[in-house]
Amino acid sequence: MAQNFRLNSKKSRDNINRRLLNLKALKISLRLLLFVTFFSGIIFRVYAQSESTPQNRHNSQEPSIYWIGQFPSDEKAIKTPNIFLRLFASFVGKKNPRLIRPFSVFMDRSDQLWVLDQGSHSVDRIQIDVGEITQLRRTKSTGFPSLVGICAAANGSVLFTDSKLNKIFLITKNSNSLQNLNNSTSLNRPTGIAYSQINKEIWVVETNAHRIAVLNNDGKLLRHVGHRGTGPGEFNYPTFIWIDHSGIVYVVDSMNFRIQILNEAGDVISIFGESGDATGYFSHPKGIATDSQQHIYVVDARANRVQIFDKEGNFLFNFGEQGTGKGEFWLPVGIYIDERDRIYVADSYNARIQIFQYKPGATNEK
Amino acid sequence: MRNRLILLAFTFLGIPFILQAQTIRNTPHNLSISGQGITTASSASEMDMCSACHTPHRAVPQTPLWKQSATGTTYKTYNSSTTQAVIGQPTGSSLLCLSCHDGTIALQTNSIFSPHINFSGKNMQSIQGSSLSHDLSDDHPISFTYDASLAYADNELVLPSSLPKEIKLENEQLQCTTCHDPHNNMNGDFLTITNRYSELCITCHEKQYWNSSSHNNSSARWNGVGTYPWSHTPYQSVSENGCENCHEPHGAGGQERLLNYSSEEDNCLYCHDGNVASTDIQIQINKPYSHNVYKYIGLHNPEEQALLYTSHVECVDCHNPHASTNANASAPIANGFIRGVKGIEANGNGTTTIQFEYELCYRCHADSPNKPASPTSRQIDQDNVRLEFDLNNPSYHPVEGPGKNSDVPSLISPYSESSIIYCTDCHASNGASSPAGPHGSIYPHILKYRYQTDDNTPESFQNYELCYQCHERNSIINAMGMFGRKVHKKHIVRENASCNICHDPHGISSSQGNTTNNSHLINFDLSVVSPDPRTSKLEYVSLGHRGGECYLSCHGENHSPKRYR
Repeated sequence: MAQNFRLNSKKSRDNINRRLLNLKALKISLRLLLFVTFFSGIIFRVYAQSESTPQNRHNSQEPSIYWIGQFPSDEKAIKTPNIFLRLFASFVGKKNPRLIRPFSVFMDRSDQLWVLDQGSHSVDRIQIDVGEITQLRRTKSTGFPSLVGICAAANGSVLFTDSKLNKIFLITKNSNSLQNLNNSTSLNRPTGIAYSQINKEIWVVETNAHRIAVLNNDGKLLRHVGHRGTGPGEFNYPTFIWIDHSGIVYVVDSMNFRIQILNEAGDVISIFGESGDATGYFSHPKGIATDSQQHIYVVDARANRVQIFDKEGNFLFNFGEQGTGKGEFWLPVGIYIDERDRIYVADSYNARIQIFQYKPGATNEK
Repeated sequence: MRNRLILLAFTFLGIPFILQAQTIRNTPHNLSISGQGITTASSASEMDMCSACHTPHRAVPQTPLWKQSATGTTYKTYNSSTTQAVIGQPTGSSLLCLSCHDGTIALQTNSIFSPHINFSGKNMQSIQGSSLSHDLSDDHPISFTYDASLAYADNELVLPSSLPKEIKLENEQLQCTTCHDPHNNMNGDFLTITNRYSELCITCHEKQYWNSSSHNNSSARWNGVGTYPWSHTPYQSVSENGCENCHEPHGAGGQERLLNYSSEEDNCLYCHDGNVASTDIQIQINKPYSHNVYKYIGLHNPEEQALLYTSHVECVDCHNPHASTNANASAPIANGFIRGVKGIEANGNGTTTIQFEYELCYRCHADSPNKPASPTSRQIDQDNVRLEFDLNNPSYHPVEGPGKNSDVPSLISPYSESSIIYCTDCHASNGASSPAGPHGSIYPHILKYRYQTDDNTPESFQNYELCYQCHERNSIINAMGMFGRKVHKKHIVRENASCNICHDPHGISSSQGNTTNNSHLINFDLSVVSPDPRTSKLEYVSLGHRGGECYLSCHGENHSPKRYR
């Protein structure tokens, strides 16, 4: 079942990278940039870290998290890039897509932000430098009923799950087609999905079966990992999953309120976390990701925060509280960290993706 | 004493069963591994089944290592955040539900809630009017304040103070827990009150006319043909489904107003296709001349004025599904099928509840700027049917009141000169067994019977079947002496002239015509009749009882004038 969809034209994707990395220059030209962005319709605005940001009040010797931007950055700008397009759109009745309830997020290597939107039931690909959203739906009129997990797979392709359709979908790089990864693999509510670059394996969490299915690149089932229970290597409603560059697997074992760290074979390396409302505990843990220093970031939807642990499970830091401002969340869910240690959080009921930057301290603690 | 002991013993024996029935243990909300978990249950130690939702309070927070000076925080997970809430975002205990019902631990079938949706009627209105149509509100709104002022503004809501004890608001706000008790699944779907006969819906929603409407009272069931209409409830009759015949509280296809389907008519025609309702409206709509409800999507707005500006027709433009009954009435009184709908009164004023049937037709066919044009080009042109039927007119068909002519011998009993007829006596679905009302016809103008308007139509009962329903054919073409022979028989039978060429079936407005020239519905069809070349006049002049003269030219015959008496 291959369907066509429009591929985005190539944009100057690298512009935004340079801007982000060159923060000092940005600070100087902030006003100019705002001026330019306002008139050119560029909607991804980067705010240089302001002194009032709470995360910034600490000693710069320590590792820290900066809020660097959000998408969409401005409600008005997102509607249409300029007045003529808006007029045109009003004639042809074209609706400009926008995020409604972003659930999971993923940044590919060409700076294209992928968002699973449970509100619009579509997979949104966003050129953040121009703010252009391309929505991918199953057909023109049917969307995906329950998008949950997304990850990069082999050869630049992208995989994502729909927990109601019980399917994994595949979009190959530079192709216009959407296909089922493997129609014959039967899955019981696939949710989180991750790809091991080391073993070339797809790990997909079957929440309802309380286990992980390990598939090869063709979607053929290789083995199952785990079953229901509360012991090590057992799961109770596992949801999100992350595999780091060394092939280590991190699983959110949500109704056991813990994180299980597994090796490539699926054996338990370590386990940490328990249920609780205070910092360092889990209420409703959701998305999980690691940065370049192997810090583990866990989103907690109920507590509206992201907590950071080291790989031994020591609580390092947390940020976020319920609200609509910068660095505040309203039922955050998915998280993605790219190789530049930029942290993307799907802030679902605030209808936005918030972007943070991890900065290692001058003296690294590890 | 012994009996009492036995009674006591049985009472205590019964307790575990009662407890079991009412606790969360045996519900899908028991997410501990002791729950009725789908798939394998493990023998491993049991997770506390409360902590799936109730996060235990930790008085000693872990201290973040990156900030050695910081002490960590204890979070209040049950915070009520109403004060900082952006309108429409879920708050309070609903957050708790939504953080599981997101497609991971629980599916979203009963929990999709979109941000930035406002509740009260006025705000819904502004959303429709703006370009924010991407806001998908396919679930019943939550996290909004339900207070007396909302009830008054909506006008069809019960005052919060009169809600039964099962319906709980949280800080005056409606939350998931208002309709669902997550601990108790006795009613299914964790409902606080069963929704059989819409009991749950009507505790808050007090729709005008609903109690006596057919959709509330009909015991009709599906006949097994076509699509099963009630896939989202366990109930199998119209009355048991009640509101949910058309509405779906979660994941509604129609989004706004939570209708089952996004195309307005689908909500009606899935039942009104003869498979639940006894009559098949769908087949009528598909006839060549119809009030084609399929043609318009998204134009109807329940808040629209009685006078219709944007040309469209949906089932609900003529029918109020909260009010409809199958009660009969006599013309011109509106019958039960069109009870409780908007209309335009004979004087041109809008009304929210019609009294007479024609008032409904006047919504679109009278003062509406986009009304359909009159099909015949006449000497006196008038598209506004309200003006055509006005009781001050020189002549009209008796729709608003009895007609002007006190001598109409052709009328077939029970019709008489004092009769009043409905618009739908002429404009209705064709076919003897068709349901009443102007749904669709094989004849132009949605006429119930054939009515040939072309010149050179041979006279027959079939060709003027519509007229001959009330006006007896023999009386028209053979009786009434000289008048019958010289006027009707001469023109209709010998000259093959259609009734429509001389008569304007609706009426002639008093602002344009007069009793001398326009009595007896005389208003010539200009495509057939032209002015008399000698006198340059195109005119009928009444000369009293069954007498008149005409100045015109027709079929090459000049009348300058021709007279009959």
